[in-house]
Amino acid sequence: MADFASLNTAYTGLSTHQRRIDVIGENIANASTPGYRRRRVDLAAIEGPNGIGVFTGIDRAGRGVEIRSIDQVMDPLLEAAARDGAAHAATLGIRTEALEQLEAAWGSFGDTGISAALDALGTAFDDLVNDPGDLAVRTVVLQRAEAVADAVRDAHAAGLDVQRGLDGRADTVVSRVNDLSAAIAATDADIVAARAAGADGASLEDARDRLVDELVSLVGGDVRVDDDGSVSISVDGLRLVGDGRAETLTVARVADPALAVHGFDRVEIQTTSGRALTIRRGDLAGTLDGANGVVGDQLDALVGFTTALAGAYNTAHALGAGLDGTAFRSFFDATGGPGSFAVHADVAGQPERIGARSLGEGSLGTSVAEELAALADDPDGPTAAWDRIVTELAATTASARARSDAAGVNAASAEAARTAVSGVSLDEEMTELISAQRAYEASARMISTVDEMLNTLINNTGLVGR
Amino acid sequence: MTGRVTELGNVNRFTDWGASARQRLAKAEQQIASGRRYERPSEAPVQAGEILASRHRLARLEQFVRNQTNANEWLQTADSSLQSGVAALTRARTLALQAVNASTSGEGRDAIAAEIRSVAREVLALANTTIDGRPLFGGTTDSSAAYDDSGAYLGDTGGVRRRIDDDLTIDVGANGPAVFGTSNAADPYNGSVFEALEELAVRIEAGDVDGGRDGIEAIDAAMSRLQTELGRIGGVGSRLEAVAEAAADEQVRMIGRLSDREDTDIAAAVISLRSAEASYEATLAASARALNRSLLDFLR
Repeated sequence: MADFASLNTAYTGLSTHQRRIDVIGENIANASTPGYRRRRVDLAAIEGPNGIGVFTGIDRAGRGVEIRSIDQVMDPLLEAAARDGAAHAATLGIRTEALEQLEAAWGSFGDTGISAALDALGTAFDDLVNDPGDLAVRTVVLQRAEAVADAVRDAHAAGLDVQRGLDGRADTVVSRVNDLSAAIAATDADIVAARAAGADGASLEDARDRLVDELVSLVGGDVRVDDDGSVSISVDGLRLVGDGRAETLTVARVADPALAVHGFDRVEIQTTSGRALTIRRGDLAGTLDGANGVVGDQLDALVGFTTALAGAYNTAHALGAGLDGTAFRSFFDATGGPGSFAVHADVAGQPERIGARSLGEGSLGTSVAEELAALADDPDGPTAAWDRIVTELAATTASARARSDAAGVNAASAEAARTAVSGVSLDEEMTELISAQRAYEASARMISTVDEMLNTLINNTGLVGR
Repeated sequence: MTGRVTELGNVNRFTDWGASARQRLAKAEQQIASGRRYERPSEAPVQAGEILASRHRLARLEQFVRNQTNANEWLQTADSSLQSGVAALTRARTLALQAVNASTSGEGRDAIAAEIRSVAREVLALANTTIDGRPLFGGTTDSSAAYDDSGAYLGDTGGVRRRIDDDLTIDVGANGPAVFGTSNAADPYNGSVFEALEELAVRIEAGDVDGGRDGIEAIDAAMSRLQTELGRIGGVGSRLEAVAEAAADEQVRMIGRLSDREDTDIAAAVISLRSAEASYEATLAASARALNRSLLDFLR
């Protein structure tokens, strides 16, 4: 040993392990902070001068220990998987929610709604067959028909409510997306500045990445971390966040012939320059799918049903003559679509006009009423058609829910995998703490040993034999 | 790597487990409280289809039962009218037999003719029997009687039908001419029963023995028409009875079927409630213990 370098070596041990204890303290303090990634101190031995020159080659001992870096422990692959999982689960979750709302309004086990109203109408026509001349019985038929029309209009209104809800939701989500993009860009600027100044930007990065998590769960997108520590996020070719700048998204309502029949526009996400973005992932993708797809599809089915319903009853009823002897009257009016579906003005409020008999029959003939009553259990009739809509909606909802649940489980396990890497384990930290404390104590002992050696050298030299 | 157990991971995991155990518990509670196995069709799309079909079928069956009851009223009324008609005609026949007997005096024949006319009125009244304000033998007419006072038919030949099962419609009304004969002014004995009885009364008053004998034949023919209709009604009635029994059976079966698919199996639900409770408590207990444990507990 050329000099008392070990004093300095011991000092590097003291200061390094003290820093380790600081980091352990920070980890323990943040053990349950969401989004916190545990820090790890990367230690390295300080190499001694080694033997290339003439005067070297004797002393190979190192010069102590140093902190190479303090890292946030994370696995980029798992980070991406967790974000992607959350975004996918959000998409399917919203879609399922839209279907469930529709189902809550339309789906019944036949005890309420259109299904029950049609049963009641069929029963009323049967009673009309039994007593075709009775005005009270005819009035009941009209009331039941009104109930069917009410149920159809309710179903339509409920569909529009769901659409309006999702339409409004798109605004909320996009405004949150814009807030998040701006916040991420601002935080990124701080991170870049901190890095340039050599400061530790780790807490900023944690905070920023939590914002990124939320943004991706809302709108999807590819996340890339640049060399300067900032992130760039792109959605369908648009650089939403990057270089410390954030783009703003807007919600536009675009006329769409397929949806115009139902009286609403397609919800579209656009860039500031007006380009339409295709959002494939995240909450927003589910919201758009719900507003533009799910509700539209179901309303299409409702329109088809009401047309068939009016067609079936009108075709049969046209052949029926009322008590006044006049035939060729309609029963239901579906010309305005399901939103204004009603009992036709030909018979509304005028029970004597219901055609129970055919023109060739006596005044209390019932062959037409019999046909109308039989529509209730016609396997190709309106009741059966509505049942198919309800059961198909049920099946669609069930499979959407199953997919959404599976995506939720996937997202949870991806998140668990991420936490397993980045999270704090108190047991680990305790073990580390003991090890750091022991190392610190040992370094201190080292210093006192060198001190004793110096004492021997300085105070006791030359006292041999005295 | 995934082997690391972290504080946040623990918290997330136990929160998820607790939530899903709580959900199972809530589901079991809801099944018991509402008595319904499913809240929404999407919980069981296939069963939903079956439940819908069963409920529609039940609504139809209820209506068939109403139709059957109504049909039965019509048939009963027709039956009793026709029975009375047969009795009245039997009396007319006995009277006619008396009248053609050589020993009957002129006054006696006048009295018999008067009584035969009263029988004719009785039969006319029976032919005008109404149900629900409609003449039973008037077909689909909206007039209040099937025959006017002179015995002219006011109704039509339309059938009164009741649908008593899926593909089974029965005729419950009978039209007058088929039962009481078609009017034939030129040859009253081959005309309606009213014309025949009037002709008989006239012949008896005139002491026309041969005409009286022809009249008895005419009464026999009229009676056989009533008997035929009675037979038909009896046949329809027994068919109705069989169908009604089957419908009642099916109703019971359908209610059972619906209940099987729709109602909570209370025993099973209580068991699943117990097991959900147990698993919820176990999850909570496990979480409480596991979250408490760390190396910290064992360091001085």
